[in-house]
Amino acid sequence: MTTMSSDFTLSTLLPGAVPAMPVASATPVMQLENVSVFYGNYEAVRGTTMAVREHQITALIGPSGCGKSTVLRSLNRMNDLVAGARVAGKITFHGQDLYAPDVDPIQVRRRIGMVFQKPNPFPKSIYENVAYGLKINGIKDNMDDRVEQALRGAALWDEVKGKLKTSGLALSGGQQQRLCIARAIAVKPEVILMDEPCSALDPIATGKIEDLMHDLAGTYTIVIVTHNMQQAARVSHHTAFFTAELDEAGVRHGRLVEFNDTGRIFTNPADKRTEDYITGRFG
Amino acid sequence: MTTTATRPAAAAPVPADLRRSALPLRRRLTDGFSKSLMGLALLIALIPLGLVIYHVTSRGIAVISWDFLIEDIPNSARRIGGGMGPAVAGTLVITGAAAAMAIPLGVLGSIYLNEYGKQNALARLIRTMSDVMTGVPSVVMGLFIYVSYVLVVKEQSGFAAALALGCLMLPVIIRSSEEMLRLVPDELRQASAALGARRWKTTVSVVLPAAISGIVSGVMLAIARAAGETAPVVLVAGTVFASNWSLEGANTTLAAQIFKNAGEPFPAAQERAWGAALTLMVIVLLFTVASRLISSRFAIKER
Repeated sequence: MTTMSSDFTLSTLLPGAVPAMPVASATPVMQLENVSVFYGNYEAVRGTTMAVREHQITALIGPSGCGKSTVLRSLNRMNDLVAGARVAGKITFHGQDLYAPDVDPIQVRRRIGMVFQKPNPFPKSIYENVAYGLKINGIKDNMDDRVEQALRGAALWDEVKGKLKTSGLALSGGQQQRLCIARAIAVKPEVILMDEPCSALDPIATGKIEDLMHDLAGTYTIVIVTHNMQQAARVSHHTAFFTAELDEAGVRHGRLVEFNDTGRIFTNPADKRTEDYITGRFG
Repeated sequence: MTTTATRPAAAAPVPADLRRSALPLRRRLTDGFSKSLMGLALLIALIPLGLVIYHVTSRGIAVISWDFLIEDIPNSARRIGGGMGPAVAGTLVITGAAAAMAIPLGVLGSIYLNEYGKQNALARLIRTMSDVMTGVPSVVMGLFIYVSYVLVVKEQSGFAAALALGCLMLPVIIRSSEEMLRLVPDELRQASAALGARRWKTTVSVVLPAAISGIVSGVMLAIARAAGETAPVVLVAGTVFASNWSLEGANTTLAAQIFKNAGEPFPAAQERAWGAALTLMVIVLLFTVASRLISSRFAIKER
């Protein structure tokens, strides 16, 4: 790879300088322009520019501490819940600035759902877990049908249909994670953010969730954070590779190295660092 | 196993002796000593508890009857018979009113501290103040209510006693409830927020149900302590000999009657004190059991 990596880094720092994306088959739902995320005075991620395309799966990969989860959580303003967290740059959702002063984070999260790293069902029954999101969104009719649809959508219905009244915590880890996905899709969001959804699961449960992601991509737009490169290669259409680098002052910042079609990233990466990472020569 | 074959010959030729008797004497002695020390500490801790229950029950059971629970207190402590009806009524009314004031304030306050205020200046001030308030002796709280309420309205009353007990309960409820809310994992709040729930909705539907059994425990502890408080009641409620089921006018409680009757030289009065002690213990026990049953309906079935 002879691409000038320094030029590439520079271009990602410049607003509007989106790297070339050959497969622009789908319209972008979300755009990140020169996004930096701060925790207090610490700049955790610096200058990220990328796009999230409709009905496709976008994977954020990279080593631990590279800021991929931080970027993910800034997409539905979950970082608002962290004291001192702040976003600079621009994140748009259908052209609307998510961080404009009059934007209600609650409205954002109703359209951009999230599945977390650790399965976190509510300590309620399976049924109540799925119905919760519907209730808080004021939906009261056809509750049973909607819960069934969501559980079917998360490929969990056949396993739990006879025990909807039992606690969600009584399920296995993989089932709990699918329950969390059912809970997220019950409110019919446009985008689902998944923060390492399989890192706490065994390979069989992981396989089920990956199959599920393929199915869901027809209806939803998915952004997934993973540090499992094979997973990114298996499920995603687009891949963003992040890494953590020291700046002039010796402070670590996460930054986007390369964003492209998953095929390109894994077969013909433009940046040396990407190539090193995916071939296992990183660090 | 092939791994053992590849191991260097340093592996012990003699199989390790895994029996307990193979341990060095010192370690065995230390182990036995620590274990017996713990058992001894437990026994010593149980002695006062057992003695209290035994004495109160054996002395009180002879006195207690249905009549004892409803009859008026004799005007003269010397007189045989009579009951503790007014004290039972007063305990229920005063503790109930104190709880009705302190529980909503305390639980809502703890929700503010843990879910909204967190580490801001106001929350830190409230935390410090409630810690200070926890340390205020009950008799001082009684004097405070005496000066600021009884002297103003010029009447000793059950309501004044409820105010004093409520002030004693409030900091205990705030701090214990806050601890319980803090134990609720943040992941649950985030999961709820990610579904588009506002903070109050998350608090009411997710956080409170998860913390309810712990909050109830703290509240019951506060109620039990308030029901047993003597000094503030004697100071601000005065005393009565006939049941007063209202918050107005003088009143009395079981704890106050235990204090008064136990101080009398007459056997009849002392018997009434034992009876009142057993009654108080049973009332607190009943409330604890009832609240456990109620909170288990809201609490999470399995973990």
